[in-house]
Amino acid sequence: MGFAWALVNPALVVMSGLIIRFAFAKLSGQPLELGDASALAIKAIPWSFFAGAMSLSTVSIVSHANLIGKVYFVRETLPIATVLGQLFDTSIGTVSVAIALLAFGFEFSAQALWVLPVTLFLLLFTMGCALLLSCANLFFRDVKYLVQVLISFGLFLTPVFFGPEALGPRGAMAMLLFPIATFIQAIGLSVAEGRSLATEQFVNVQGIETMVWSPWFLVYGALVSVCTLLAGLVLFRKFSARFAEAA
Amino acid sequence: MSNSGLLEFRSVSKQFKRTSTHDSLRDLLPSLLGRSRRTDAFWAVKDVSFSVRPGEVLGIIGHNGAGKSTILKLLNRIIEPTRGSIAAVGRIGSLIEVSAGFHQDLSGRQNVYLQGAIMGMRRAEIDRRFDEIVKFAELSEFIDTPVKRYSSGMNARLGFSIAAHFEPDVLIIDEVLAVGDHAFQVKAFSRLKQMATGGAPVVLVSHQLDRVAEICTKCILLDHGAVAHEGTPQECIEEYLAVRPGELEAGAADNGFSFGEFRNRGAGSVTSGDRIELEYWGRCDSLQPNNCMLALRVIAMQTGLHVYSVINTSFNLPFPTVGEFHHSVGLSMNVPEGSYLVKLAVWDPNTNSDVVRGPQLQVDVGTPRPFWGNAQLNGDWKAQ
Repeated sequence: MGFAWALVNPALVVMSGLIIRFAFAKLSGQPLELGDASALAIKAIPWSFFAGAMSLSTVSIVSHANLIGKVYFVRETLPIATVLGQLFDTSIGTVSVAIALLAFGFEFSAQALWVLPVTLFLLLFTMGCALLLSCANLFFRDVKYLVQVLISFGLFLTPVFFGPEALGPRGAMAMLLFPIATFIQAIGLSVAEGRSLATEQFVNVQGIETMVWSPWFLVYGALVSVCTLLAGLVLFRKFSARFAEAA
Repeated sequence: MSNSGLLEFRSVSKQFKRTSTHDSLRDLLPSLLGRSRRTDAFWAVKDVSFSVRPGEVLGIIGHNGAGKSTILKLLNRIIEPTRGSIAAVGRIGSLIEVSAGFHQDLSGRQNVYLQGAIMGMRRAEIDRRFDEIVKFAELSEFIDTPVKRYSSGMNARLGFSIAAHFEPDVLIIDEVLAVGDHAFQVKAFSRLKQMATGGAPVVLVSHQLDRVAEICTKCILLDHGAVAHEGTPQECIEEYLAVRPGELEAGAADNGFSFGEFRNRGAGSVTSGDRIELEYWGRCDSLQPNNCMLALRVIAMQTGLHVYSVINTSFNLPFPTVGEFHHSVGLSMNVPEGSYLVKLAVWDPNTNSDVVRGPQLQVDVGTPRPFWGNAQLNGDWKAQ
């Protein structure tokens, strides 16, 4: 049963994505392709990982306030362990999706290996955010509501349901600069579409070539993830001396 | 237990803010725009210094609110000092909140590993001591039962047992001695004593003065966050018992009533069951509020317990009128072996406080025939 729960969130994201895609397809009069469904399933995984990790890690310190006030231990353990727990759930989801895709005849290209560095950056970024938000939520208890709202809304700021090209050339750029969107787009392009992340990638939207990827985004994503993690570690350390008093 | 640990407090002070700071963004925004907040800071610990070396056991005593808990939290690094510094060399083990880390859904076995990990034990170390821990906690049958099904006593026993099998370089003990039933308490205390005398520096915070007197090699008495006395446990306990909060009202010396000499007509040390005769002099310059009474209290110095308290009206002894007075009092010391403090005071029953704090006298009681219990019943046991 525990394994099944790990699949519920990504499954729901895929379902809602399919409904939206179906509605788009109806409007534009184009048929819904299998490729759409597989891309959705692949992009739903990093999103569910990030969303799940954020909502759980934000409250990770407050929900252990009792322990914080009584025992000394390295406080970083709480948000980091939450993220790693989510990573474990996600790996189950990933295996399930991979099996399902192979069963439907989906072929993975060598470009899919880009997923490894991208996942590493995504993990570092998620840990950084988890450290920052769990700490913030201790001092400002309503941060968790803000996080919930951002998670619900964030699905539309990231290329899970639709590619960045749908927002036009400038919109695409803006979307890709949203850090979590960068990672999801990278995974979508390399795994679902078999494209290389080492070169610029374009999509033709009604005759206009829209750039949906540049190698610079990889550099950007790496920088953002490392900086977020460092900021998270430094601020967390700085404030952790006050945790027991605030808890 | 290693002998490398060291614990040192260097002029440590800790300030708390009494007003709550904002704990939501909703409250933060208006206050940023509006006027500044009123801050009401107080010092829970003021300039406290001490050091505990291997082989030393430091007792910390003091009334409620004296800063004992804050010092424990500082020692455990749960909070950090506002001023001063704390040096702790080695692994700190604390017998405080011994079951705080338990996860209710996990079994006793899993919780031993979880709690052990929180305390800083390695897996191999827990493996090695697992059987010992379970046996000490007397939970062999229930070790695979989820902790949520444990009684509070079982919880506390397991928690104590885990903590008591940890080998720290520095040991900090709170009043965890009140764990489980009487038999377990006796076992826990002897284990604690064994740990405390194992060579590592130990800090013991307790209200149980007899335990402090028994284990500690030195002691500090805290009062309102500052060190009021530092010395042997005996000195600190005496000092602690001499001044109890609420007993000495401000300006009490000036209300026209003073006690003079207070002495024991016999020897300062007696045998349990013997009678002592005490006498005291005093002077009353102005009439006291008519409901005031003379109070005489006998306090066991090891425990701080009042073993006997009486008021003058019970003896048809009139309250002194203006002028000098001289009273005598006889007491049968039907009490266990130990040191007792006899204290005089003028007591106002309406406010339940001492209007005048009188002199005190120490009486040491010995016994040629040791006994367990709370009262000397002058046993007379023989063959017929």
